[in-house]
Amino acid sequence: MSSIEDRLKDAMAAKAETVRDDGRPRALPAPQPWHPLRSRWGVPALVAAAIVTVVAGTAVGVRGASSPAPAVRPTPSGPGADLPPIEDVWPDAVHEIPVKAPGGRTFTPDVFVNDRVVVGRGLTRNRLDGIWSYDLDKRTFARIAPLKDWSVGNDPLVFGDGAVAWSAFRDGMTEIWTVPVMGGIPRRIASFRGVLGPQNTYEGITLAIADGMAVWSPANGGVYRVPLKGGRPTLIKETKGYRLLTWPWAGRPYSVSDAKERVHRPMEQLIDVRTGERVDAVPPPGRVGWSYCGVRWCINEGEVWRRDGTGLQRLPGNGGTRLYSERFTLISRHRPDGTSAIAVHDISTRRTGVLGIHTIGMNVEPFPTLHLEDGLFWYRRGSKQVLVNLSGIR
Amino acid sequence: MDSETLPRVSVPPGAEPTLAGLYREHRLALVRLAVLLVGDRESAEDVVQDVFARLHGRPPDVLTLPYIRTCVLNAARSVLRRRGVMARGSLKLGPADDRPVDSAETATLLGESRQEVLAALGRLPRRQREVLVLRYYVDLSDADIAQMTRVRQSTVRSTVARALARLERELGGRT
Repeated sequence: MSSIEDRLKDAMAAKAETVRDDGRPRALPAPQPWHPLRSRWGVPALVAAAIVTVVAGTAVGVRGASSPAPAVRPTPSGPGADLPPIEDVWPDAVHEIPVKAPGGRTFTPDVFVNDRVVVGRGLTRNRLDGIWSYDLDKRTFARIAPLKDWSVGNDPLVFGDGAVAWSAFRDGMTEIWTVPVMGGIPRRIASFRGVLGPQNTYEGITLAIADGMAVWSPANGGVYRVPLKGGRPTLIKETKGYRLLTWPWAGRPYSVSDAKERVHRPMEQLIDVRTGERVDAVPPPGRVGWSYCGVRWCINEGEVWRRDGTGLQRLPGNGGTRLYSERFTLISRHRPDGTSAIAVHDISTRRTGVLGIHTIGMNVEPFPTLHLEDGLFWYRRGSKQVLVNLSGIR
Repeated sequence: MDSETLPRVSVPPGAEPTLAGLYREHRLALVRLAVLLVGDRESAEDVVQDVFARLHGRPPDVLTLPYIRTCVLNAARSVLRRRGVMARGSLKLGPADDRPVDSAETATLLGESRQEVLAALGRLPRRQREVLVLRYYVDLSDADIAQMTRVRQSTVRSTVARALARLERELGGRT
């Protein structure tokens, strides 16, 4: 290789290396609104529509006192039964809101603070520039706080006790910030050394607000707390190795990657971090493991059962490997016309509502990317976005 | 709970969440490729963001790294084209140079000799610059470069030779 080639290689490698890896995971950029003229009208090939899901995970719920009562009639789910659209099953939980907030910024919904107001992030050119709320009744946006901070990760905002909270990762430190949901100036309430994962990347924290405190678990476990007024983070007694699941519950092992055995039993042991009460998961006869286990239900390969191993039921479709808001899961079900229905299934009431149809064909508008957060599913539809407020379904 | 370690939600057959995985795995490398094509980090990050924002809904079988690299290459060309239009517009008002300038920190890191090489690279015609980046940074074969840039392999070879000869002349054979 000539010297000019060596110099060129060296200079290009050095220039490329100036883009440093800061270790922060980035969220997949939101899709651009679909436009029929952009589809490949001239391509004589079948275009398989794909459903892409983006799972956001850091926000955890705060468990309410009451269990959902299965008073409503289950959705018919026999082989020939057609599932109803989600708007018919839970009309109060499905909302359509604009994609664009004032100033042309994109609004990314994160959490419902009540049944009528959703809080999320404003993004300009996919960069965070503020925290916004949208009122479903007034059909208006309101800015809660400006926020131009590249250190803020992509995990959804969390809400509780009248405050919105999020975490940032800066100079090796994890910071927890809050702002009143009615608006105000963001305030840093805690700062502590960030925990890096096995790949030397920052893996964020599991964050919630409960009982006047911000509570969280870093990647290596333990449940910590700090008052919302600010102060020193403290490890809650006897939570070492446990990960926050749904306040006040923390569990171990956290994920399948933590499990040493080939049988995966994530969150097998749960403790109530306030009282120390321990609840172990027990599989039903003939089952040995599961893909996800919440406080009440465990789920594995199209089957669900209660944490104590009772109440085994088959899901009315394929999929179902994770639970959202403790009782919802996403399934797909083949239809007689060859398409598949993508549906939300409520384990507690056995009701199912179709989100959309996964179709294969030429020039078919693909089903949009589905964003799955613990209490909220959402996807874009043109200049609107459709929100399913799981946390609002009683 | 981060999306890296969470058990993924099940998706319908043939609809794996490939795009998110590709983004997580290759974003940094693609930004680095784009920075060599457009010159500055901010534009490079925008290029990669825009590419992935447009890839939603593409069939999983087309979502390969070579395909996404080609998208980045095309998006970088668009950025340079827009810059060219803006530069021509500003010439009417008066001399202006909106070419991105490295920050002081980056300039220090690179050193004078490398900056000289990069400046000479930046003065090459777009196609010559592209093939050099693909050959000497991404380390692609002639066939792969030909496919990405939609020219014949012989054209790739001659373009590389001409570009190297021009760099050699500009840099005066200094090492």
